[in-house]
Amino acid sequence: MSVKYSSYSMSQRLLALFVLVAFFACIIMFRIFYLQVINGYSITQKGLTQWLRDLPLSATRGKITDRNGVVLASSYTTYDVYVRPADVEDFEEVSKVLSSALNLDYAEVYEKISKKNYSEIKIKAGIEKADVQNILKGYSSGIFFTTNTQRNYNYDQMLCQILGFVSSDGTGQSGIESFYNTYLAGVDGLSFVESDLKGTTLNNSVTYYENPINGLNLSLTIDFKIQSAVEKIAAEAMASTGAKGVSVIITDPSSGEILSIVSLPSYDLNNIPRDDMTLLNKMSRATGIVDTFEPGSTFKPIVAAIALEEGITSKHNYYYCGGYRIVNGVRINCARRSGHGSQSLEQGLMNSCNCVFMDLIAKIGLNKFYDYLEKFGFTAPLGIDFPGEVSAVLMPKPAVTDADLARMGFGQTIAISSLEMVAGVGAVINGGYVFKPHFVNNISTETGKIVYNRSSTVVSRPLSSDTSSVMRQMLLSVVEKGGGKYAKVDGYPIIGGKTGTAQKYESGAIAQGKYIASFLGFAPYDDPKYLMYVVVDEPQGAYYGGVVAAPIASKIFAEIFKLENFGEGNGESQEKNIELPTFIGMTISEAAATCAGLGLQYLVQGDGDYVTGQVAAPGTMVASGDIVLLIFD
Amino acid sequence: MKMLSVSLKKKHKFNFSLFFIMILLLALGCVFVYSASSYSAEITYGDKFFFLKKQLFGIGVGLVCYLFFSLVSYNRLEKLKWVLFAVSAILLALVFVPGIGLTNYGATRWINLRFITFQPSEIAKFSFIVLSASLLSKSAEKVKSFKGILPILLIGGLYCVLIILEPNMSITICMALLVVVMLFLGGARFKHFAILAVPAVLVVALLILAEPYRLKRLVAFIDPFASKQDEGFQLVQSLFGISLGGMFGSGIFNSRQKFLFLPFSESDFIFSIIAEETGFVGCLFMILLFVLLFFVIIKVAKNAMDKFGFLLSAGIGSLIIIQMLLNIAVVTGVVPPTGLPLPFISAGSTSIMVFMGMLGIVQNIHKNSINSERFLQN
Repeated sequence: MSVKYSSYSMSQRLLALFVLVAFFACIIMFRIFYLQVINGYSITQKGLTQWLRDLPLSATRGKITDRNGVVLASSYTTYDVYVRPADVEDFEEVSKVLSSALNLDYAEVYEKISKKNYSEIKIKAGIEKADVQNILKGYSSGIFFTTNTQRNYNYDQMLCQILGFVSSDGTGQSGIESFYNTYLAGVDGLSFVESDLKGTTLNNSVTYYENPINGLNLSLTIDFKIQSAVEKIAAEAMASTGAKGVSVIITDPSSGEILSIVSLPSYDLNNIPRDDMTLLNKMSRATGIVDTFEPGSTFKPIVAAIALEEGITSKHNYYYCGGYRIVNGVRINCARRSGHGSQSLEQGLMNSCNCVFMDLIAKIGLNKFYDYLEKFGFTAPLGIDFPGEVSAVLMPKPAVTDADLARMGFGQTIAISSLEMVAGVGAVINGGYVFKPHFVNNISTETGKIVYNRSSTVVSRPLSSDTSSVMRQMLLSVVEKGGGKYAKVDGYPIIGGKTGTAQKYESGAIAQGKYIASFLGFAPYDDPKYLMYVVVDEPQGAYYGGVVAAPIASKIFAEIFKLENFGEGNGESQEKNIELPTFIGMTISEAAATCAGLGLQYLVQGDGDYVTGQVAAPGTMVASGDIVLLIFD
Repeated sequence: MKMLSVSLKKKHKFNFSLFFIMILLLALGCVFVYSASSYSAEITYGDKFFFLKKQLFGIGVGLVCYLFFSLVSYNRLEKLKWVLFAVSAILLALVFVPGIGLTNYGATRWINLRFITFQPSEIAKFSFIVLSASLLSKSAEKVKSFKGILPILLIGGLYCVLIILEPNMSITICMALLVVVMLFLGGARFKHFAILAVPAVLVVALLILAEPYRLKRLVAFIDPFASKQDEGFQLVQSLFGISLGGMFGSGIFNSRQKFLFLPFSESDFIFSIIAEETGFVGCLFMILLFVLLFFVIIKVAKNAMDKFGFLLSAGIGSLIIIQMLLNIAVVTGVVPPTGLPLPFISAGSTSIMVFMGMLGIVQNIHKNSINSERFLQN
């Protein structure tokens, strides 16, 4: 008998209810099984960011040094201060400590950190280590720091266009910083901390660390000593000529290494004028690499060398200059309207006679000339390790008239960058080789292990060593006896070169009164170690290359000879009668006084309080006026 | 009836399985309430045992309730049914009186007695079971007519209206399901259920449309990850916790979600913490424990001495299992989030006391039951 209190079966209904309950329980179990076992992994992946708070550990950006290890750009650590309200015990105390240590308004800080709904509040970015220590001395609960690296350029505006700058997050924006960003940047590390919803770090939480890999160091081909001298002389020249710009490139013609490069005006890399983007863009241009201009007569050595190589002329081939040539019905003047009369090739170079080169290029012919332009590397970027290199601007061959070609003979109706001019003229004097110019000598790790070593790369060889040898002799004469005489350094008859004066074109027409004065020279003439191109843009008053640019080159050469102890001269070089004392441990003012007493100049590197190193070493014999490098680390 | 009961021997004085399962659930509840709340309690109240202490207090009072109801004959309740109804209705109404009602999270569900706050809706569920069990046990024939079930529907409807006004959607649903189950067990005809289904669906639709936040929650429920910072936050956090548990769990006290990530981790969402710490195995155990409790209770119902005892016991069992299933369905994202405690487990004194008292009644029904051995022979 079934238990029945009424006409229906209660136990059947109970059973039905139980079955229904069991059914729903099964559905729920399947759901839980799905969440935990089948799909558990993918769901928990979505939650990782909430359980772990990551603190980035920034990699220190690599240093940039000159060829001898003088630091040009380096990074140091700054700190960002945060407050985590959940961890603060005493808000008033925290506000007091922070406001006094960081020079902030107490009420403002207090209001900021009292916002309950924020897990982290940034108080100030970019503070120094000393401030951090001050804060920690006062109070620490609830205050946190993250580290950042800040870029510092040890010589402010030196090489500003070349080194370039980094963005606020430390990514290279321009120049070398940008081109080699991947190497310099390194790889940021990461640390994970388990935290609660509000970001409070949990006790006993497992923390994961991934060490940062610091950036690699770049050693440039730049020679700091030469660079310093050039920057100084170029700045003086800029002031004395009233020019719009001065640009100097010095390379080692035997390898293509760039020893010094200056573009003025420049700006301070540690205080970038970011408010005026137009001005910044203008001043950030490494004009020698990214701009082209009509070189004028400094191009003549190229034409002469092509003619020699082709056997069209020789050193003592004579030409006649009546002050102009009529080419295909177009009258083209020589610089001297009255004419140079009879001119040998050498005299043509010395006197910068346009007629000689109009004759030469006519003989070379358009096709051959353009072939040579390609061989000299003018038609395509040479591949320097720098962003934005441009190649020469040439008329399309079919459009070139005889008159155009004649003008090209003396460096007009053709626009070339300083860099390509230096590489091309380099081939004229170094035995015929066009080298790929470059900035970076080697790349090394933090510990000094060299991971990449740059070797010279020959792009092409347009000339023979014979041609080159003849050219060197003739260009020596230009400086010794011809138009380049202001480039001479007394006692050093070893400089060869060529001046140039070109009219500027603005929107297709000659701009009256605007010139580019230039000088391209090298030394020693028999085995060139330095090739220099000085370009003065729109000098005021005198505008001839031989008058404006050559004296600048002379000063620079003189400085280089002194720095590199070129003793072969006729005794003008200073006697090394000073024994260098030790400067280690001195303050900057003591060291300055010592230098002044000995008649020495000095340069400072680093921002420490005391001298920690010096170049040259104590005991070295130096001459009066020599430069001592003092290192404050 | 009386003849029958007299003729049968009363063998089982005390139902040990019922008591044992209850104690086991309460003990597990304490463990997980502590695990889930210690971190947040330390931060909020400076005492990591804050919720555990409250829970133990509830269990203490609950035990008194349990003993009281297991000793007092359940038939006395029948006499008190209208008193119970009146008290529940008044308490539900009192919630809306300013100064007495306590508003939390936008809902007025609590009555503040200074030293303790409690939810009248917990008592209402119980009083409804008593009242409906009594009315339905009176006449088997009455239940067959629509007129006969109308009082049950009206009383249930009144409770539902008062609770939905708080508002408390989940207990309303719970109450509505309870009405259906009681009518079903009481012998109502299937035809009537079909007729009732139509207005029920309409009312639910209206309720959802009346409060825009319910629709928002419904949308969030369908794809919680789309709004994981807003409406979907709680559900997403609950799902994270469950998923973290995997097959065997992260270990007791090792929950990650308790670090403020999961709101209401010690009360309505405690199952997520259980799932995280004990894994699928623990969930299976917990759910089976509830099903077993349900089984024990309906066995008591089956052997009840009279129809009132049968309906009372089965109603109590159904309430527990309905609330358990609803709670876990919410926590696992099967139904939209609403606030409903997990019986015997979630922190909350009122719920603990009421459920323990109800099990005391079941114990008393068992005490007065007919011989089960004899029943099995049939």
